[in-house]
Amino acid sequence: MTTWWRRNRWGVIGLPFALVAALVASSDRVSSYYWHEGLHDSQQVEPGEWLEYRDVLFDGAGEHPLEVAIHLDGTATTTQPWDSEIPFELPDGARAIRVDLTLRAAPDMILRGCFLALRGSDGTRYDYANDAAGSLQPSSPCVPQLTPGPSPSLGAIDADLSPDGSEARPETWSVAPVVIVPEDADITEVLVWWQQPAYAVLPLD
Amino acid sequence: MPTPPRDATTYRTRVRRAVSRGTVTRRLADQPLRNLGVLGAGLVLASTAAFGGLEPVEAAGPAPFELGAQVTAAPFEITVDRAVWVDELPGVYLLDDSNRWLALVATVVNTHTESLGYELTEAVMLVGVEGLLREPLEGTAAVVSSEQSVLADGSRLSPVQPGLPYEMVFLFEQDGSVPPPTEVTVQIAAHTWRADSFDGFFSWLDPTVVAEGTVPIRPAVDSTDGEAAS
Amino acid sequence: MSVGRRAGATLMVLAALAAGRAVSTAFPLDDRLDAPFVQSGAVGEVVELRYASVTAGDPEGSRRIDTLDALLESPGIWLVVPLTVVAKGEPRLLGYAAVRGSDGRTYRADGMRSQFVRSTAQPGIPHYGSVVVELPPSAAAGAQLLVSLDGGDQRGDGMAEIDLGITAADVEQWAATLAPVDVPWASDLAEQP
Repeated sequence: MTTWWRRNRWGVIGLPFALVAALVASSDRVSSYYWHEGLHDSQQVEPGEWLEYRDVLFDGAGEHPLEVAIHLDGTATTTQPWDSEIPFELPDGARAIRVDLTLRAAPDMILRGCFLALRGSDGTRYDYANDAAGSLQPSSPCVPQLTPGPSPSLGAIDADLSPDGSEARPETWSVAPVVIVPEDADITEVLVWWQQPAYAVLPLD
Repeated sequence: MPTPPRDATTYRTRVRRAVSRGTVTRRLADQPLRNLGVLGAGLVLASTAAFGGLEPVEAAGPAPFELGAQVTAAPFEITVDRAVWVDELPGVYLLDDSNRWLALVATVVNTHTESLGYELTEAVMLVGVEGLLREPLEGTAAVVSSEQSVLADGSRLSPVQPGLPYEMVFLFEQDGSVPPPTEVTVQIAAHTWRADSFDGFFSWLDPTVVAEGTVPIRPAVDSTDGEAAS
Repeated sequence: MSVGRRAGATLMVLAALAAGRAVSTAFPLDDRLDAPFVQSGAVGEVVELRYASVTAGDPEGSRRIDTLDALLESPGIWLVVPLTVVAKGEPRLLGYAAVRGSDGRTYRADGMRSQFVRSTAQPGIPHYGSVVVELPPSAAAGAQLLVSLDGGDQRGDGMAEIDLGITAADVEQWAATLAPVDVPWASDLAEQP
């Protein structure tokens, strides 16, 4: 007489695979509602090294490869905003941190729509906001204000937009955006991203 | 069907004999249940004719609309006091300076349990008025207003809070090259509170006209039509 | 199968269906599954939510408000409730604010008149805004302030429910006031210049 186990051995062996397949097949929401709705796919380097950042961007004209090299030159507490005549009005208990970055990319790479943040040792993220603390810094924290290079395509209405008259972006350039953080924040990393979930992590020394 | 025999017996006689022998009844009983079900259903439907079941449905038409009369158009109670037109209004901007505003001055109360927005825009329409800039609703000649403003301060009425009687105006922009009308046809629509068939979410849907009428429209006494004497 | 067994099987199926129906309708779960996680508080108390701490200040009221863009008059009364937000984890832009009147109705602050004055709050740095709502005077005494993160969907996330401590005497006074209450812009600075 064969045991239940022997009679059902293939079913039992196949069960874990079937369970995993069932979970994966019904997990499309994990992708749309979780993975793509946050910073989940990091690219990181050792402190002081260049990060060769790679991603694929989607805009009105379709998919574009994103290739840019980023180097964190350093951070420093400051009292002045980046590239602005309007001084800061810092709230009590806050300080301003300047982030010095050097970037390298082909002049035709679309890099304008980027985001920058500082991350603390407890995982809290502090975003760069161009209108923070009463000032007005450049809207993009990772391209030169006067020569930002090409913008993402807006699709069919591109034809109606006035052409960009600015000069070509240099192949290597530096930026110094300033982020407002609480005085007691222990900042350990600089984050840069274009489209979630991919993002670059540049640790402080 | 059996092939008819060649003898001279008439068809009627043969049927009569088959029924008396029970062949017909047996044949009926041998039919699959499905066929008898269809036949039975058909008989029941046909019999409803005796009670008016086969009469065409007559939808109740909209009630007559009059100035000054309160209309219950869920989720609102709307009373349109007067219809005026004006060449410009402070705080609201025409797409072209030569155009004018047709204005329905009204008192509106939200009778729902929550703030509302788009529902008010859908509740009041002008029908068959020439030269209105906004496109009519699909399949109709009815146009909704492009602005809904509070008379006291000229602000856009958004959100429409429950239980407050707002004195406000529905504004319709009309092409200036068309002569101003002397009368307009107004429709008031009520919504139904029901679940969306797609996601089960409850909201005010299916605007349906409950009051309709033609009323006179005159030039506003002065450019701030909120102060116009009625 | 014999007739008896067939009838028995049919009865078992019907009984199972009936039992299933009874179990799935016995408990009113739908409302609870959709409900937000409510944290109660009072004016001046810090209410801790998953994504931020929020504190409501003493409400002011009048028939009119001055929002720096416009002077607005209400057929009812205006409530202006100062709100301090300290974001947690990452920058937060709160999307939902409403006043639940003593009549049980919800008066949302999400338009051109009743409005939620606030910008994105940086974690750890208090952000000062206000909730501005017009409502019938009869609903104001005993009203509560509701605040949550997502403007479109408040299910399943934290919601602050703050008793505004409004009395009938307050309402009577505000309903008779025409002097507008000032509504400042949202800011990270505690005192407005």
